[in-house]
Amino acid sequence: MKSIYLFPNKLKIPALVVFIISFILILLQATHTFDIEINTKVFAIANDYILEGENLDKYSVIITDNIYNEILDITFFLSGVILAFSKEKTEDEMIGLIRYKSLTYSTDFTFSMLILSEIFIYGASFIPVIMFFFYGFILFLNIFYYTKLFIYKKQFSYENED
Amino acid sequence: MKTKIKVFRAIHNITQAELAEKLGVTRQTINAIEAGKYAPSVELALRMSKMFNVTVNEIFQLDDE
Repeated sequence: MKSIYLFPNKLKIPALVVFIISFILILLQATHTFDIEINTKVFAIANDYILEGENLDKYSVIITDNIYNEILDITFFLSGVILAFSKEKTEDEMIGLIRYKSLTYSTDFTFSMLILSEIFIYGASFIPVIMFFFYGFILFLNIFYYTKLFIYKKQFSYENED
Repeated sequence: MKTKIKVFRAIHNITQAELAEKLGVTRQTINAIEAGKYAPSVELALRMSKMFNVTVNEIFQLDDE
């Protein structure tokens, strides 16, 4: 039976390293502890200055922007996806089920929290909440997956003697 | 679901690790199936029945059977 495409196992460790580094750098940037300026010209399909007070909407333009956070986000999401969707050394249907369950739990958890935020958080405070769930989904997916995988390996490590 | 994998393993004198290797799954998966914590796919059950040279029904039974 043909299974879904998964990234090769050899990408798991590099993805984990990149994921942890990018996550730490995102935290440092969010807390204004560490930031780098990489200003360069980029093509923008949409460039909206509303949040900065200038009500200038521009479409399909070349702009100068600090692309540090874009690089961080891309590496975070890419490494997170590769980490969650790369093959185990022995990939079987039980591990596939664990991955599917983690994806379900992560979706349920993220959207439950988002619904609660919709009800209880209003105004500008909602922006950081959206940003949290933006990163949270891929983070929860990996936490759920590796926790369940650890429990599964631990639980069924020894042959049952009954 | 009840399973007799352990019995057939004993008949064929193979360990969980050896069975897992022959079926291309992890040993933990074989252990989970034996413990009744996981119901294998039709494909895995058929491969197992082919290996033990018995029918799927002889290896797996429903709880009320």
